[in-house]
Amino acid sequence: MNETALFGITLLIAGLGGTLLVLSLMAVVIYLLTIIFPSKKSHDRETPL
Amino acid sequence: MMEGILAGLSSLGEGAQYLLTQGGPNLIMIGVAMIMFYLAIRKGVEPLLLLPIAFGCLLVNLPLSEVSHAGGILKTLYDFGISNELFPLLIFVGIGAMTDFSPLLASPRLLLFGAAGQAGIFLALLLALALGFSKSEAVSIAMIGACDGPTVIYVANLFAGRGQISTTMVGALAVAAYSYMALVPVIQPPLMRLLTTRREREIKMTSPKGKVSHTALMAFPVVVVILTGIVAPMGLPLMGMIMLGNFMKVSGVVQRLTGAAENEITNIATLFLGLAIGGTMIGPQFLTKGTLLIFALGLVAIVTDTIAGVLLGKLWCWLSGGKVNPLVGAAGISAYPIAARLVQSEGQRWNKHNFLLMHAMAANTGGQIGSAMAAAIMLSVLKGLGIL
Repeated sequence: MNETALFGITLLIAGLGGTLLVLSLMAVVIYLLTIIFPSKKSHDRETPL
Repeated sequence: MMEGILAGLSSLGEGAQYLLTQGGPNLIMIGVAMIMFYLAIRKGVEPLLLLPIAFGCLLVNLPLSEVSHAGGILKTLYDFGISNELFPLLIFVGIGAMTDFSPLLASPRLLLFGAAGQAGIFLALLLALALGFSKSEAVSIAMIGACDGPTVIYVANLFAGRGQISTTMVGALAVAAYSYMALVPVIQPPLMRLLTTRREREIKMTSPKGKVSHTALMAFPVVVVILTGIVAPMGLPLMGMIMLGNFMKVSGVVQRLTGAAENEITNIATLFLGLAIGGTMIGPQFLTKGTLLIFALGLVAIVTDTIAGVLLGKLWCWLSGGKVNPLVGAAGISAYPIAARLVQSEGQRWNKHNFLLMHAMAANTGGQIGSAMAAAIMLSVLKGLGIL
């Protein structure tokens, strides 16, 4: 396989796979954030810091 | 004395002489500038950016113009804020300050549409390589699939700064990226209708559950920045600036700074960026087969983004037993909020009682994060491969 094709396939797998993986991880982190900080008055600041 | 006067007057005709003898490409680019004026003013196509780009293009193509030479205004603007990526990053602060991530936090799973909406990047990359573009050029062209002008300019300039691509190519990439962002309302609806059945388009989605706490909204940008810094540090400037703008907005304590980021800073950066980019569109260098290919590959990328998003939506619809409207997948691109509004209007076109806006906004903000993350990961992978 020539170098250019290898480069394209490497970037496809690492780039697309990496993007999917990181965004999935981020979705889990967001979900955890909403569990750790639920929308309750006791957790919410009503006025700015 | 008469000879001196005639010699002085003859210099006034040099511009016309240049245009008539060797100014064909410049004349064509002046025509392109006029078309861009028309699109920006009469058709409302991205006027904030297209108008200064067109004016920069006009200035730089007038005969014997020195505005893009060393010390000229457009060259100075380019060196000041494009070659070091300053202007796109300042615009990112504004984008972050204008974006509301609460729909995404209410439905985090819709972030996956933001990944599907980047598929075009990778198809365009493979096609560009197959067409003979260099690795750096192919990556820069592929980024048009991020459907995000500042990201395209940021990535292209990283390569231009290292002499791996020409500055003229940066101009072509920027114009292609912004043109396709503006054409999203033309490109997406036919594809959405083509890929979905009427029954799928009519699916009503339930509202996202509950409200998002203010603490979670504040924690979100910080967590995203830390995550990006750990997994894809090369993209930290991109993600960092978006999240800085958003953090300022949700914190609620720096309203003056948020207002400045949303308005003055973004406006000034947009004007200077547009002029400087227009200044790279010099006829003889711009009018090449490469430029045409850039526009063709950009179109392929945006079409692929939409197709991938809608197909993921169809898969999701099937897996959920018909609870997800596949149209929402089309909003997984970075063009915010236009892609989300399109999904809402397309959904209502087929079912007047359908309100997809919140879901589409979640997918659309997911697309924003997805495009910055895809660029960050690509750059980090390229660094690992020794290209950057």
